[in-house]
Amino acid sequence: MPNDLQRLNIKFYLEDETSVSPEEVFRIFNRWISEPRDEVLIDVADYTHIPNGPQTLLVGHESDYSLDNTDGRMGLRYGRKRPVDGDARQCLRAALSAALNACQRLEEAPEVEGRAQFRGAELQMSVFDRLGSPNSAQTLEALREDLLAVLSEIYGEAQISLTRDEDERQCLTVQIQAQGDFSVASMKQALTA
Amino acid sequence: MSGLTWKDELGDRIPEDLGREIDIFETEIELRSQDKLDETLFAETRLRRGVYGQRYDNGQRFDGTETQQLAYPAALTKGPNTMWHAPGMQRIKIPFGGLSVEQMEVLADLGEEVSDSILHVTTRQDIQLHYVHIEDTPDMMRRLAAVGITTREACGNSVRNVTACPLAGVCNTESFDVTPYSRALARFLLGHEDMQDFGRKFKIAFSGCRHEACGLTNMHDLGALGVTRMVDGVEKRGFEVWVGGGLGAVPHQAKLFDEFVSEEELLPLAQAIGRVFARLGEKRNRARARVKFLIAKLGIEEFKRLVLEERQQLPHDDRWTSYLDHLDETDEEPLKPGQALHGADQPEGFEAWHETNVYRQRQTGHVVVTVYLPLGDLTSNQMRSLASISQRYVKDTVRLTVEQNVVLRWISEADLPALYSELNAIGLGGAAAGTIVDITACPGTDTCKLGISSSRGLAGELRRRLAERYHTLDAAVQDLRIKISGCFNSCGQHHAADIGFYGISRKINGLTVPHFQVILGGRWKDNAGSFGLPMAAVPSKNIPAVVERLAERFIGERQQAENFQDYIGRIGKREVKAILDDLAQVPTYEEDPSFYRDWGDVREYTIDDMGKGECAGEVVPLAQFELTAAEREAFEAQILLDEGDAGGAYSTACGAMVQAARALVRTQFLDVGDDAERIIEEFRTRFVDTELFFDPFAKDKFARYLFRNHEEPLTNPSAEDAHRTIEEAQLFIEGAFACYGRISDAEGTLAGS
Repeated sequence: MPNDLQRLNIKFYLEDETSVSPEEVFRIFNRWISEPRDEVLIDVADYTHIPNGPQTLLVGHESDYSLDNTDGRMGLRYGRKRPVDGDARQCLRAALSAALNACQRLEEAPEVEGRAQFRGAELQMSVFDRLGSPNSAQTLEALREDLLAVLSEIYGEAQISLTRDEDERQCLTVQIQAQGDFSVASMKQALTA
Repeated sequence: MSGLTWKDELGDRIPEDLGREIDIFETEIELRSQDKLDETLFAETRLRRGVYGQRYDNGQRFDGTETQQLAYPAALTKGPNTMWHAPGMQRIKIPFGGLSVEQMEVLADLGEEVSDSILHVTTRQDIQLHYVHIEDTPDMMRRLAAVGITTREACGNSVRNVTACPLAGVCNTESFDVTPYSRALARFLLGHEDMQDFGRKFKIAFSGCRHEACGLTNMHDLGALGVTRMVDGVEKRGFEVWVGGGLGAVPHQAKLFDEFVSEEELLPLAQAIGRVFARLGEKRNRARARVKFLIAKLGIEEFKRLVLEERQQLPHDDRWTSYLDHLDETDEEPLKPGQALHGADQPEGFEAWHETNVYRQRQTGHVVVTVYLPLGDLTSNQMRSLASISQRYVKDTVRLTVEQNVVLRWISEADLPALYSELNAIGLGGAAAGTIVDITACPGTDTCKLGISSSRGLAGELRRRLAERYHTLDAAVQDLRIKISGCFNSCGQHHAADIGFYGISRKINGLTVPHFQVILGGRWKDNAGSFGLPMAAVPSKNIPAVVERLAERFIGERQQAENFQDYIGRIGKREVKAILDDLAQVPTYEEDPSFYRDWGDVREYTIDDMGKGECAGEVVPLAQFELTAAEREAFEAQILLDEGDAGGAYSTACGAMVQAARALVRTQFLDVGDDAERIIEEFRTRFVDTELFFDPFAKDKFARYLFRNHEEPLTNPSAEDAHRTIEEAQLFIEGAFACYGRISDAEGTLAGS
């Protein structure tokens, strides 16, 4: 069972899937490269020729970001690639924080004039680490307490459902749904509080 | 960290020898990270394991206003100008393109876990993963090794992936199934001690039929074409062996080594060829280190004599023939019996897909289905689903193709409608495989350090436009092949296409404009039977119009069943150039700024040049005029070659190089005069000795074309010599254009204006 969580992916879905185009995001991601924060971003890849996959990918040294349509629903995916120190709860918190930061940055990007809004109440968590976190009910059970603890930071008392993708060939993927409406800004604020 | 490791998890599923090698590589990575291993040595080590550096615009990105330096945590390099530990590309060899379901699943998982969830199929039946951290490669290699895949010698100066016709074994026109032979040779040469001291890479391809393209044996260092011969009343299998073919900057058609090499002799002969190449091949000058240059230098007869002499001295090796007892190991069986389609219900789009993506096997009732991958890409999820589909419709009979697609073999015809629906559901039901829409492109500027123009961006745009109109196109146009390389190095196989393009750039009024050189006259069929020549340098944004216009003219003017190559040959290059002339023009930035961006890139790389270039207005510098004149002269050489005047073509091509050198010299020394000797001397002093002419990657490679042709002129050049010299002239001129662009940039003004 995992006592840490590596290669965590967090995806938030766009309220309106057509609100931003991959071309617009391509431009925005290129701008992000030249506005370094606390991470190294290095390249942008265009994969719009494959509809059900990452559409526009911002490649970083430690983490990637993408306008993603892998599951047929457009959203922003954050994917950690390099190891993170800390226990599962710390890893989850760090990934969630990075994903929310990116969502907020996209929502506020002047290029899209406020059109990009994310549905805060739903997110997908995947762990691209079949060795450390195999896709099984046991893994999710072992993770449940930490996961709910971190989720309660952003969703408060709201009821939360966790649905695991039971296809064993897939990496551990959990669809997370909270009751209520949550904005990216409020979740971000709650997480940093 | 969990403490679990793939090494422990996989245990003895990793073959011992591969496991040991991977352990060593892991240690080398650690030593390199501590700066205890020399970067040059490490570079060759990782390349031999298929671990490449990737392009990141030399550590800079242009943000729309100015170029920004990328921040990296350390100053170590990985290949030219890139941090060595930046995520890079991993090439994975798939001999003869053959994949099992288990292998597909592991590849899918790896794509997701260590890459960007995209798997790229290459033009040599490899899989490439991008943005892979080098620290992740040892475990990745272990997981691959556990399912019988190695990345060993996927790059570096070694025997690369052995390719073979993806229809081998089910093809209607093959002499016999070349699969077991390609597998045996790949295994025999992998890590073989005689294959470790090459000056450059060595590529091998197998084909079962002469007239198709699937094996491309004419453009390989060693091409083996399966043939049979009656010996004492018994049919014997063997190979027509071709050597010294290759694309690269200047393509070489392979030379016939032997009309019939018996199956018993194939492996020792390849070993002997490798030994001669290792012993006599060029080592210092990479630009002339492929075996094609050795053969050109020695002549095919002398090369053959040396190889046969070497063959006689080889110590016997049981492996030469032991595989012949197990040829049936690669035989395939269908999962389901072959049944005709009959009147089964057909989903929407099925008919069009069936027309282009289904090949009827020689085994009645079974077909091969081509799964068309746009730009050779598929997601991890698609690969996983494809593995699942394969499991339900066929056995482990999946192959990658050199046209960057996947084929599923042994499909029962009756299953086609259901299969089509399943492929469609995962986004892989695209029609038009093997047509004008199915464009081959190398990675180009997207990820390759050598890319000049966006081959994938252009391919994507052409694909989009052509797919929309596909069903309205004439059948003769539908069947054309388009292939695109991001630079002159031919990874997109542009020389062998009906319509080929390779990336170049031009400086127009101080701004760099992405262009492509248009290549016509190549032949994909007949195993890449002939290579095309450059026609015109056209700005990237006009390339779709080039395709459209050539197609329209071809349909309007073709005679009876005339094919495209014959049509181009009949109207002549002068007319072709006239067709394209207006498309070669570049509007000013103010008229149309889109010309100053590349396809698939929203950034305007040249805006920062604007301030420097604006003042020049419409002035066209003298050097640009003179370089354009040199290009025209190179084109005249092509006309002469077409007219059968090889000698004239050769001397005109040489003259074009001198013209281009003169254009550069005159940017510094206007009165250099017209004497070739003087021009070349001044060029050497001013541009080569000073390294001004040096390409960042090719260095002085193109200058050496000029020097060699001047110092060792051919007295009686053949058509092939002339063809090659025209290619060299074109590359030298491109080098001169690029040099001129660099000078302009460095001076911060327009040279000569």
